[in-house]
Amino acid sequence: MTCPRLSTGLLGALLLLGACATQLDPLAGTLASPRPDNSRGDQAALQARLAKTSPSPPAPSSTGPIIALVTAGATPHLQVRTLPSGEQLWATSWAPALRPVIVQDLVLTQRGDDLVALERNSGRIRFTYPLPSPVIQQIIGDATGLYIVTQSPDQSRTQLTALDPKNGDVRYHHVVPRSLGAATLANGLLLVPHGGQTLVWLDAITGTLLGRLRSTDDLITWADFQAGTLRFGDRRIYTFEPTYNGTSHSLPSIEPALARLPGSPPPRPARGLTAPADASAYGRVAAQASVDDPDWRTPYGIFYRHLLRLGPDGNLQWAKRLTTDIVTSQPTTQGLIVVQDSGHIALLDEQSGTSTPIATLPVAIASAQLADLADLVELFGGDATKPAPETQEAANADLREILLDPDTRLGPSRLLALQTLQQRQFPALTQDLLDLIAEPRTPPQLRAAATQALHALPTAQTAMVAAIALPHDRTAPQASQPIAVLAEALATQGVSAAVKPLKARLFDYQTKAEDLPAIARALSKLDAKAAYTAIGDFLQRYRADSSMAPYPDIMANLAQLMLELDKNRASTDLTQLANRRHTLRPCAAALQALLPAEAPSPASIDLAQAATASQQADTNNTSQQAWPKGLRPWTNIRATFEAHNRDLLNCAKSSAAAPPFKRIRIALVIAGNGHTMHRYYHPSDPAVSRCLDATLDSIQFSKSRTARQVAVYTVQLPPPETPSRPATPPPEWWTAYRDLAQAASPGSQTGTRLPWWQDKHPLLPKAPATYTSTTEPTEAEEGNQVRTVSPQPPTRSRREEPGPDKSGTTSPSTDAWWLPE
Amino acid sequence: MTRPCLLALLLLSLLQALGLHPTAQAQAPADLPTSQALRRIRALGRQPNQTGVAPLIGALQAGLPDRVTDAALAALGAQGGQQAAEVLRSFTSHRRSSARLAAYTALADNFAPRLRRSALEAGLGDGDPRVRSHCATLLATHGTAASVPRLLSAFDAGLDASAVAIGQLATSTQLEVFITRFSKQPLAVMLAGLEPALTRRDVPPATKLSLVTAVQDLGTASAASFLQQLLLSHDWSHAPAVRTALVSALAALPATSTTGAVQ
Repeated sequence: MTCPRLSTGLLGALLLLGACATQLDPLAGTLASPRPDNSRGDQAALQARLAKTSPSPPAPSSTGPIIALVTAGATPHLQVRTLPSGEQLWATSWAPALRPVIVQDLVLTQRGDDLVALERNSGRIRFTYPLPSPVIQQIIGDATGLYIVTQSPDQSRTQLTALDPKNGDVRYHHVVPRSLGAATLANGLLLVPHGGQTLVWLDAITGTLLGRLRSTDDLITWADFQAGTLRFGDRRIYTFEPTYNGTSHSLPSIEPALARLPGSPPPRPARGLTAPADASAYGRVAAQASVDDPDWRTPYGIFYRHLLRLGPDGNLQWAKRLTTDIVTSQPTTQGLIVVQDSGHIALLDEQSGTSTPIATLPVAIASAQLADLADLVELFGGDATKPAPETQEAANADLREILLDPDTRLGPSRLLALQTLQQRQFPALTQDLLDLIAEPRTPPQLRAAATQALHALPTAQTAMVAAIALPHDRTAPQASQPIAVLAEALATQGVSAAVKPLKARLFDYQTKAEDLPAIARALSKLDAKAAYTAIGDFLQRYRADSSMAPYPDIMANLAQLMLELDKNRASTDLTQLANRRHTLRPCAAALQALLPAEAPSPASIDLAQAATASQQADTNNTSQQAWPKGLRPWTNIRATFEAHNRDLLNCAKSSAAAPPFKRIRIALVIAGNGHTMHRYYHPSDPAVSRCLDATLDSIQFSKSRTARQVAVYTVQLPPPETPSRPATPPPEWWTAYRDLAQAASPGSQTGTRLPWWQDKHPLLPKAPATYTSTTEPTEAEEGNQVRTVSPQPPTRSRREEPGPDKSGTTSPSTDAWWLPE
Repeated sequence: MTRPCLLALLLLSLLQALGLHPTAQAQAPADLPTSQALRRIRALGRQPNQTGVAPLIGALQAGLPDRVTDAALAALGAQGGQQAAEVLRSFTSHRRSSARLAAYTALADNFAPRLRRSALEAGLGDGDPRVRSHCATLLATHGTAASVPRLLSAFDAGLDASAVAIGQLATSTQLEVFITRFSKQPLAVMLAGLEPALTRRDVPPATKLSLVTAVQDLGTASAASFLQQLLLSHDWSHAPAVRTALVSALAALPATSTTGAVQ
């Protein structure tokens, strides 16, 4: 009885302690106060507050446009420079840990575990604030307050801290167990996305929670207040109105076409990502909207050193390849100001993308932020300096530069350039595609897209034929062509003019052996007869040549193609080829494996043996039919194989192929010492081949005086187990009785019998033994039936029926009353 | 067994070993053991009136081991004829470089100059440097001045062997073009090309003098060594002006370490 009391006491003490702890930190608060979601009253108040024109904050002592940057290199430090002169105002001697943030007259960054606020004009440290966690997610502020969002290293809680910008005094802080999104300030309110689906707003000075919007069907990861309009959302942008009820259709919204941009950046960095001081993707992969384009109809896409702009139709309006990566960018009324890591700062015109240099800083930049750019825009972006819109040719040339950019990081933007050029039917695209495909450093996705584009490009035929017909000449260096891709594309488009150059390529020594099957296949699609002849000629020419000895698989592939073209003729031709003198053993084995013969003919063994012997004496000239002397009898070889048949069969189970093989044909060469070599398996499955290799390594054939001997063996696999017929639904319990009744009915012979359920004849007391219904009656029901139908005393239940006769017949029981005694 | 029988058997064995056995004669080279096939191929190559062409082509098309293929190509070249030329041209794209080498070598004999020239010029662009060099050497022997532009482009692409061919084939104008490469190509290679040009009888003395001047202008010890060797190792009685120019150039150039009296 004391235990519950003790527990209750302890719990109370803990609660009291918790309450005291809260009281001890009067600044602590939480965003989880019981404020109703989507309250109409709160929303109306918010709307009124947003619409109110707040008194403009006192202007800081400005130095005009500036850039705060962290230098790249071994000893990074923070610098602030004026623009466009590039003059350095000040620099730190220490390395900051955070990308600098300019808020009014302060430059904020992180040094160790402290937030450091430096005077913008002098670099003097105004205050430092020991951070609750070294992971800063976001810093925003205005003249009246600074707001820092930090996350605990274990990501278990997030803290929002409000500081006085004059001295760094803490006004309040809120600790929440969940993440906070990218916050914004609006007329003395601090609007903070919270927990992924909620937007809370606080009094920025006091931290008092004033209201909550909660979405029931979309994410809220950022908020933004500009020109009296509050927008929030995640991928979709909602414009706030005081009618929000938590559903996405209760507010006007748009979804900008940012998914097309490389890297698919969100409209705002989603969760106030930590922005490190050193080089990172932060700022290098981004989307920006013009100041006068709040609906993101024509967004900019920044992707490292590629800068793109989409048009209102979602297609690329222009694209530029810069010399180095973009560190940061800022949209203006005239275009986009970009800062490159080489120190170049330029304004790119929003209509044409034409670059106007602003400054060249003498430092390499890792990260940076711009501020107060209005003067710059006026200076460099005036209408007088407005460049003319780009011509289509120039735009295509820009896209081509991006497409052929050798930087392997930039696959997504290159892909977009490819799609746009394809859409515009750029005339020189074919050769560019060929170059891309041939370039070994092309990213796989881009290569696949280029191949696909090549297949679909109707204007490419002439260029493709010319490319495949291009003679190799070492004295005139040229890019190697992706022969296999070209061949496939030509075959897909049915270009008959390609037959001749493809044949030439088949016999060209500079064609990679790996490309030969693709060429042969393309030939077979375009002209089956010519393909058969050409492949046959190729196999003949190289059957005994050392140049194709390392490629028995390729030879087998070509032979397989012949079989596909004309099975009967090819069987004969290939048999002759495999059995002919001098055919290289790996090649012969590969061909034998394709052929349907169960055992090698004596002739083939003779030839294999003779091929070996030719290196020694060249004296064997035995009859074609007689089994050559000194060779292992086939029966011995087969016996050895059969002794290990189970192991070989097991190997078939390791196949990942579907459907499973019916048989595996093994062709190999048995050395004089009984070991095997030059193994070839058909079909060739990597897993099966590995297993067979291991198994055959362990098999020792009888020794022989013959140096080498070809042997072929087929492992016949058992037919796959046909799935057992689905169990027929068991007959209903009464069917047996029905059948018996019908059989026993006197009218059954005359065809005048009544339906069995109207039959007056008693049913048999003994159910057939096959009665296996899963819905079998209970013991009681069974007993009832027996009792009902049987004139005899109830006997044992069916389950207890002894005797061997369980086979199930419908023959009547011997104690049927109508049968003669 | 009687003595005649033994003798007959011995004779048959000998014929078989030499590839002259009737059975061996009937069989195609592709079906003979290597040594017999080689003998048969060589025999076919020696057959008169191009009667060996058909069986040789048949053998090549049927597929032969490396050595036999190369021998068959040589034999086919020895036979000559249009049909043989076509087959040899097709073997210039063989996957084995020694087969291509054999095909080019075979094409250099017994064929029309135009065919020979086009084939060997194509060989200058072969993927194997040995084949390229060999074709340049063959062109030096079998080519004409018409091949020089192609040789020059091969030379610019790094085929050193073409320098000698250029020296042997080039006209005066072409030689003037050739010596413009002095600043771009290795000196030793350039000089190797100039030597045959300077010793050729069909090159006008004026051209030779300009070549000597070009070498003299180099002003190096290597140039002096080259001129001195040239002066000593050839008879200049037919071109006294060139000899004089050589002597003057040598006098103007720094002394070389090589010894030898200038006559």
